[in-house]
Amino acid sequence: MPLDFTEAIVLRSFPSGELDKIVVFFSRDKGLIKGRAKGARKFGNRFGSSLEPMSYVKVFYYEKERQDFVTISQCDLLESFLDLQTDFETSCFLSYWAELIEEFYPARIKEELLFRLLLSCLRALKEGGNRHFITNYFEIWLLRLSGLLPDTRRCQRCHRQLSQQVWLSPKKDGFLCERCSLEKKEPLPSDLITFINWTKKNSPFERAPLSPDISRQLAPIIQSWLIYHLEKEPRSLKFLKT
Amino acid sequence: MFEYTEPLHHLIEELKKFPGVGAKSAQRMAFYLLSISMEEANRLADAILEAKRKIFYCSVCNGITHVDPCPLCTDPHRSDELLCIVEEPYNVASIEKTGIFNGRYHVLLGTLSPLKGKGPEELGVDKLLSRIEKGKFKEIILATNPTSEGEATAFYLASLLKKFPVKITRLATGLPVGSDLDFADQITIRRALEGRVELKD
Ligand SMILES: [Zn+2]
Ligand SMILES: [Zn+2]
Repeated sequence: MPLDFTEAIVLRSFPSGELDKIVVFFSRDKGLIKGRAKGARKFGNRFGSSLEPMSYVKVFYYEKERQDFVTISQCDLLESFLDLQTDFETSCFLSYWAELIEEFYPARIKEELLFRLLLSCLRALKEGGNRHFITNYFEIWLLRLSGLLPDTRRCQRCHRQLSQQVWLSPKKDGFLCERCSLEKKEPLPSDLITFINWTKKNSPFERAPLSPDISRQLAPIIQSWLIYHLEKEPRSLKFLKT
Repeated sequence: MFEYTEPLHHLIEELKKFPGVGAKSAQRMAFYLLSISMEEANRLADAILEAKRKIFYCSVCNGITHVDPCPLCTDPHRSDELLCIVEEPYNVASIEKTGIFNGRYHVLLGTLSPLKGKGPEELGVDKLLSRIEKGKFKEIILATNPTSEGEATAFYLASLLKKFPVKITRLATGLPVGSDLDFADQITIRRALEGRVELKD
């Protein structure tokens, strides 16, 4: 039963039994880890605020064979994002990010880029970034890292170079030019293509290239792609719409 | 694969639904129940049924009670100017044990929790607001837990309560009694500093 440790961000935690908490971590080098923190519900326990959602921590744990949960022996807080969550709306956005990660990456597999994405988005939010814009940024990069983001340069069907006017393919995994788009629907907003290209070269700390209003208009489109690939709507999403 | 006889299997499945009870504990509890006398088993079953029949949530404060409104809501010796908002019915018991609070309670029966599908509507915020509107409260204490969900809930309620001419307070968070400063994380220490109190003689 060797002791192991990793840097991680807490996605969620919930009570288990009278004294314990089950904590879901997204770690830098091992992906999703679920652990039991014994005594974490006890008053004045050694875990302090480190197990609250979105805490950036260094977690030490033991692993026993054939058990779903590792045993968390120590959790040191590196950076807290608790204050962001005193605002209910912001906490809804953070729950949504956490839910997306757990749904798209439920396994113990290293996803360091995703880890770094989550951490920088949290920091950008803490520095006063707009939550709508940063959420768009997070969603686009999550799709990109998952290989689900359509190529903005060429038409998926005829491979011709795309203009600013593009249509989404029926399987929501590619962009089509006007000639190839069979359905006579409206093209996607050109702001969306500009934004997707912008995210490739910029960090979430940069000045948003979109106004908060445009950001809010793009959100349902990006979210419809995520829902399509997840085959269900994230539970926390309904709270973002209000 | 070995399987228990159907009635035992059924009992284990029901016990597994208890919070914090997994397959192993459910099995232990089931075997314990098999070992007790018929009389003891009846007493337990009766206690469960009687509690279920006679206990319900108070229509005023959401606390658990067998009369409506509950004794805490009707007690004439308690102040109508103080309201303490807590997450769960058992939180009322914890505060009552201190014997220093003499106002009324309101139990939210949970917190705002997007991941659990709980928003303002599910939390019965309207009921709370109409109670405050009709009441004569001067101070409202937000006694939700110092967790992210508890804090989000407290700040959300505070934003709604701003329109009422009441003082809104939050339970102090800080160092737990009997702990050592060395073991507290930066959030806990900062909160303790923010909530520091003057020592008077
Ligand atoms: Zn084409
Ligand atoms: Zn009552």
